[in-house]
Amino acid sequence: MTFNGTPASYEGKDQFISLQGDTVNVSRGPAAQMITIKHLGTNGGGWFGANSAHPLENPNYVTNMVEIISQFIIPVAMIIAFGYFIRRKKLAWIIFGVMMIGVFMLMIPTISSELGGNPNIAKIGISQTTGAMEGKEVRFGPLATAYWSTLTTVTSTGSVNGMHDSTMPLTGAWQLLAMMINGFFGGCGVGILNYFIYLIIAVFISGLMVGRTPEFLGHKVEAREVKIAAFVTLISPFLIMAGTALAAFVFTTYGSANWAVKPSSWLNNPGYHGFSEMLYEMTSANANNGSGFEGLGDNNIFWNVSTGFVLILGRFLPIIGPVAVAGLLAKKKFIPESEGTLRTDTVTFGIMTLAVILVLNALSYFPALALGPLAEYFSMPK
Amino acid sequence: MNSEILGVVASFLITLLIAVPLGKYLAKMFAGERVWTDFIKSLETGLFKLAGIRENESMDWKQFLKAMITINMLWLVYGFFVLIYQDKLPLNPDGNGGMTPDLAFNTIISFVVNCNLQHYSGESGVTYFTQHFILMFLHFTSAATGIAAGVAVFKAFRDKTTTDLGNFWNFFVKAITRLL
Repeated sequence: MTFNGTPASYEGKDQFISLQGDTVNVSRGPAAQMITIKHLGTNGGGWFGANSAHPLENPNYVTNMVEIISQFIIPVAMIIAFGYFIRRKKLAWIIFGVMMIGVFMLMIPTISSELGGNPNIAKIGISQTTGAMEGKEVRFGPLATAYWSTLTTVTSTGSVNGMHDSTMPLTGAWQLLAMMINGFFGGCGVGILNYFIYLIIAVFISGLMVGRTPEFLGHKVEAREVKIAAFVTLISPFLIMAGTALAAFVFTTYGSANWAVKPSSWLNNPGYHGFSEMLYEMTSANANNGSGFEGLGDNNIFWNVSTGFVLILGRFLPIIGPVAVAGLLAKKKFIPESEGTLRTDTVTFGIMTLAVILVLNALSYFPALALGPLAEYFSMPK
Repeated sequence: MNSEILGVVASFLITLLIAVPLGKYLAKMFAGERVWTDFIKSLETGLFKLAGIRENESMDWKQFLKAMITINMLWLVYGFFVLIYQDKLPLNPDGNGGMTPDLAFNTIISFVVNCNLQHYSGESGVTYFTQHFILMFLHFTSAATGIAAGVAVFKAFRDKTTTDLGNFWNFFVKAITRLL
């Protein structure tokens, strides 16, 4: 990173005369190390405000590739490690496959909607051969930004190399959905925990469907574990919806409250897009993602405190839940696999899990998505 | 356009190429088998001794979670106060001011939980001192916390019947020294 021009010195602001003749203060600092770890650890908190769209934080295409690769390897590696650790490689590859399908289901529409360009600009008669460029960095192009935005939202990184606020409405919807699911690879270690919760629910549901005892890897799944799993899956929609609803309520009712940023001037874009901005902020907080739509004036007491609570609940409950379930399951007597066992390492079961994930999330989040990005999409000229 | 697609496909393939061997390595490392990074072991043993931790002591899921939450809360309190008083601490060449309590509350939670929602701007909201000793420090530790919790779940299904989820401190330190 340092060799490609990311600063690593302790000096203060640098001054230079820009092309327009203005004097510009450029903030610097020992940023290179931080950027590497922010991606490896799927953290995403950048050194500079503009994150990896900042020229000093992500100077060229090579660093862009390095950053994008490093934010994805540990979540993928954790899945493989799972298989080798518990000596069931096939199960890990099935999980890997399901997650990959999930990622592609999010990534391909994102890329196509970004490359398609913005119909509003097309209407003015400007050709967009490179795709929708608003909010993108020319040195990466919309495709790399679309790829980045998918990966950063499926993992819990949340760094950005283009402004998500300016992406197309449908892209926004996929980004939101990726964070709501939060189980396709996910963050370092926690991604597989989220997926594990979905697995428990899938085991339970499919066990009921085929009339077999629900068991996972030789341990019976009983009411207590399912209750914990259900609670964890329900808490995310609750936090996101309640948070966004509260924000929307404050926005409309107490528009002139005397805070650092007045609620009525929170949103850069009123209407559907404004709703997406608030929804994105809450979702991002709950998924511990940390990317922002950035159209939102979020440094004030309401957003600081509310997302603070959403953050901490959205982090620790989904860790406590799976670890507790795993602890409870592990204590139970091991039942050797027999004819009557529902096998969890088959493709069929993988598809079942995928279906459970999609159905659960569609049921939980469709109304909110319909109000935000989808409404915006359908109100655009075709 | 084609070179753009090529770039994306290339990054994707490189990711997989690195991730698969890395996964195997992680599995071996957390299982305590011999791996090539064992030369760091003396450092880890030193750290455990210094902190008075018996790294091979087994924990059940309640003890495991208790250890995890305790240390996270500690960082929360420490970071909160440092962020508020950052203007009085060294390594602040640009003279950036301290944070307001509500912003510090948000920022520190956000970094402790591996989220990094930033309601401030890196250039003007934090100093080099806080960037390093709070934010970068938490970049490492929050990721390691997540990994440790993940490994605990792995551990639960490795053996047939067990109450042992491994040791939080052990996984946690190893995630930092051997991986990040």
